[in-house]
Amino acid sequence: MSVGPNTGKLIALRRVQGATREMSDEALLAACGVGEAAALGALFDRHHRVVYRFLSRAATTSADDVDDLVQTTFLEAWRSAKRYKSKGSVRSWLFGIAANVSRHYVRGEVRRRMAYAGFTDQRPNDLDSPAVAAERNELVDQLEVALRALSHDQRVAFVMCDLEGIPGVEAARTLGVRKGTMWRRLHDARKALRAVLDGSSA
Amino acid sequence: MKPRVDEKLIAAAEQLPFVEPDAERREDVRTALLIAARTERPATESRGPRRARLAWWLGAPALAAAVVLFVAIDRGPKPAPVPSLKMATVEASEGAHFTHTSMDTDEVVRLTSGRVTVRVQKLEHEEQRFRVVTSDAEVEVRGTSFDVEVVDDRLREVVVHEGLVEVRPKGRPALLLAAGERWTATTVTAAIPAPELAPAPAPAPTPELAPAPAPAPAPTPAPIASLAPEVEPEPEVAPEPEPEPELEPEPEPEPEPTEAEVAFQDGWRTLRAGNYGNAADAFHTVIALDPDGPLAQDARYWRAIAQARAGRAATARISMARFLEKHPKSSRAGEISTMLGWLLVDVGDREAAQRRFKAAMHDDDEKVRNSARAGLEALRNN
Repeated sequence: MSVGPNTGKLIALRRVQGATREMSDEALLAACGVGEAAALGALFDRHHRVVYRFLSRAATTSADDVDDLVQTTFLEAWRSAKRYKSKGSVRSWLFGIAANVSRHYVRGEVRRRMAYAGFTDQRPNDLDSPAVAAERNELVDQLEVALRALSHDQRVAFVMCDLEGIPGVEAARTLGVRKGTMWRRLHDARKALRAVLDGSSA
Repeated sequence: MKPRVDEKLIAAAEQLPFVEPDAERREDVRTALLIAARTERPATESRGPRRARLAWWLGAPALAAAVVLFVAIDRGPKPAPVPSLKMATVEASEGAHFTHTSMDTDEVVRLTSGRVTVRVQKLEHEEQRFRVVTSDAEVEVRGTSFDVEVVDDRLREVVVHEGLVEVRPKGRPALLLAAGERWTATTVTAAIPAPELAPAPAPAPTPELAPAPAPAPAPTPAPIASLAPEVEPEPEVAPEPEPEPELEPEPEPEPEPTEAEVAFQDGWRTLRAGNYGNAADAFHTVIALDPDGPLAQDARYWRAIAQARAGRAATARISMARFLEKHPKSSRAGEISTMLGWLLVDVGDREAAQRRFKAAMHDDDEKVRNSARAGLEALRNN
């Protein structure tokens, strides 16, 4: 259900056409930094899909929780827009925020589950439904299990560099780690996942 | 040394699925994001060195943990003693389908098919309730062991092993069963039309995260069928002819319920049965059918509650924010504002949470004010 742009209070929610389409990511971030909410909307429109994809793979949560993480990621981007240093792409910067968001969300998840344990229906995770599983081949299933078994840092490194195409040096800078640390995480992740491929072709 | 790219692995991993949101869900997240951003300014000056920010991130889960305890236990300034959430153990036969939910003092097993054996411990608090609910009946117990069987979502049989069980089939008087007794549905039972089990929606409940829906008024229990004394038949007497009844004007038929009213009753029934996901969808239907109608405000309120109980925190926050935008002067605005505050604390959005708690500090309801005060205190202390 979308909110109508009929009141003065909601004008900022209206999608701004034209000007923002021509603006670079960096310009949109700069506009966010001075409180232009339309720029945040444009940033969301431009990058939400890749952020959803990144978080769906890098965070081990349910589909419903990914909405939470995406919203928190962009909200944090809004808050931190003025601190963006242009040392990497905005997309990489968003992934860095998303990685932090998912790391801290997972830590709280166990406590949240305990609190809500009495209030939830026993519904299976969407990704585990028989209909969804039937559409995937067995190898992909095994890869998914192996990906979820990686540590958070290894999983983020693999998703960010190998699936989202962020150069390792840039990913290291975004995540605030040394290059060597990034290479080691990537190597360990690839090794664990490669074992699945090798096991299936044996 | 930089590891070599593993193209085959990447090609396989690129097939990993991800749940892309549909247009409506994407719009919901976008709207909630912009509403949240509109209420706060981006950082205009450095918040301090990177380590200080990292310390906040590390501290946020501890805050969330402390607050989650408030959410789970109580909303007041000091936690009240709460009875155990699990008052019963449920053993299911193979193929039984049920959901087992509890909220504070009300525990519900929604049984849709199959047979379960339930053992309920003695309930010490008057407000504690344990029920097994089907589409056409409720079975309520206090300290007992019994079997319930359901076929095609209809109550088929209740067998009591210990204690007392009240069976309330739709359209029939309630029955009290003692140990060793059994109730079985008949074809006649199935043909009787079912009146609503639940009364109209209760007035504004307490601001706890999981306020219990108003319980159905307990009907007067009928005598236990097996213990009813046998009555000797009276001698036959020719009946006197009945006087012809006066013709009375037929009462005007009640108007058919609107689609929105039907959807609201569905939502209410499924909410009471603990099926929060379906309840949220039903209330959403009410709003879609008649967004400015007489049921819209209640539907928005209960949709948010159902979403929160179903664990859909993100959509619950959106629904609560929309309720407050749409009904700022509602008597429930303070309560919703407080609940939204707690959900925002849970995701680490301290500034937005603080605004929501402050907005509720002048609510007419003391419980709402206490809960908001507790929220502000929790933010200060962490």
